[in-house]
Amino acid sequence: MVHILRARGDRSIADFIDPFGGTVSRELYVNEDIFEQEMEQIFQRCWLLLGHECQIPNPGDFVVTRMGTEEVIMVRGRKDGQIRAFLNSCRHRGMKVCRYDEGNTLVFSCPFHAWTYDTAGKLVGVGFGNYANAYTDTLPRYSEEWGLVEVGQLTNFYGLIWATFDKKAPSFEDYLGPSFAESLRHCLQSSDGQDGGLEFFTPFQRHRIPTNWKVPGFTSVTDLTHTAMTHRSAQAAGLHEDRGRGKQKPAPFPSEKYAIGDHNLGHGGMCTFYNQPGVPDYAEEWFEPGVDDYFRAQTEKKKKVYANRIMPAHGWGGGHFAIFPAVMIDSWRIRYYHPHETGMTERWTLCGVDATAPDHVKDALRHYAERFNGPVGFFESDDMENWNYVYPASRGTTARKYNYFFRNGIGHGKYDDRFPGVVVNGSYTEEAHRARFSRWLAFMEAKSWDDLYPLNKEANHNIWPGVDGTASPTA
Amino acid sequence: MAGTTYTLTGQGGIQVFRNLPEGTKITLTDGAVGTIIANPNDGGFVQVKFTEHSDKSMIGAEEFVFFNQVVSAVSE
Repeated sequence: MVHILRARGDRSIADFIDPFGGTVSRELYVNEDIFEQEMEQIFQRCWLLLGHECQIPNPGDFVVTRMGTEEVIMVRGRKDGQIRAFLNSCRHRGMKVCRYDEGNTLVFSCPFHAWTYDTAGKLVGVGFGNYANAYTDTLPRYSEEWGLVEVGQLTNFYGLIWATFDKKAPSFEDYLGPSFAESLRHCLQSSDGQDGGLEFFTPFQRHRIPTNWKVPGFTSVTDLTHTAMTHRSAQAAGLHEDRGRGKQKPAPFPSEKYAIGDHNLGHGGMCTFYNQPGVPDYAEEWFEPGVDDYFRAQTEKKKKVYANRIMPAHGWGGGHFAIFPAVMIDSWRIRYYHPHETGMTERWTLCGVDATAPDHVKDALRHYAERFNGPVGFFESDDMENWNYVYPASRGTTARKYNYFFRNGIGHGKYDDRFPGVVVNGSYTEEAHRARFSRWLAFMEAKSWDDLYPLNKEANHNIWPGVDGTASPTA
Repeated sequence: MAGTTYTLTGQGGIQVFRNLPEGTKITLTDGAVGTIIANPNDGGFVQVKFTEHSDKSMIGAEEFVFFNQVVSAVSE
């Protein structure tokens, strides 16, 4: 059992969650010791999203992104075109070797003592004198040992670049699990049902939110109950969901919507189980002329791809989901949360479109992303009002003594063969939230991956009662 | 046509070094000679391919050279 060492030192991590009461302590969101432990136990181990390959198409292209509280340079090698990621910290004295958000470079030169690294992270030069004899011959030439710190593993999943600091972490596909891997693949398909083929508008939307990373990261997916009040004015203005004019509803397609949570993997969100192969008819929804024509034609192409296949449960109207710990994704829109401090989070939003779409379609998608997302969008600015004030209103000495309510739907969850391993519940429940806390606790307590699913296939990390009619919690 | 000799000293020398073009012939403090094959424009380094060097194995090698190793730069 891992213990918090300082604040509230008599409590173990598990004591901060009350499964049978269906509540979670606010300390998880405001306690600095817990935050530091999260960085070590979760963000050092988990697969984290760095960005998209379209950000760095050419040799020498780089962007500075983040993994938890640490800056990471994602760069395409000048010689081999390979994408790598390194800590943005000089090995000599720790200075940032890159102080630009993005660009193209031959080397990363530290402005402090001029230790200089190529785009493969190798130390290729040091300041003040001949490198061969510099530092009184104590620094081996082109030392592998003193290159930039590279991430433990990196993978390209249909264009999205993911990395983990942990060389012993399972593969990204295992980390996702087969069903969520198929869902993510579906979200990243072009609108005609082909793999990949997306580009994302750059630069990404980036902004800081004065709140704990779990406020948006854990609670903004599958939180349907917030929409009625939080987005009331935007909905009243007719801006919800439809991107422009009123929808022309297509014929209903046999399907069922749920909230789901994988308590072993931590992923979950909304989903749609389609009850037959195929693709629903296209629903017209755009202000801009010609855009519906494009997507209607693309949908007809996609129908052929899925003529004999049932569509995955997420994306393209199926619903959005979260990838543990801090990524939220639906079709072509990816939002992720970089923790800076206990009460400060940086949010990045990627909005994509078919790479081969005509310009008027790309323009319409970009305008939609601008008016929906970010601090100046109609909808997410609503959300930020809540996220910004949750943190200061929860961290007071009195306030933090009162747990948050995460009880909605406990006792109603079931396992379902259509999405093995996940708990399926009503779409207005907090099942996906609870799954994230199950996984959160597993990571916080685990001494190594041997304690964690999927390497430990026997693990059952569901800490909450009441699934499939087992003991119900306190009502 | 005779090459241009760049002035690498003084305040102006900083900017001159930062903008040395590819193809510039440079001579180092140890007598080695090479041609600039890339300049990251950071004011610290240029990447050089050696044409003369006391260590014969270094001829043809590519190296990043710090500004204070360079004693002269001439366009070819």
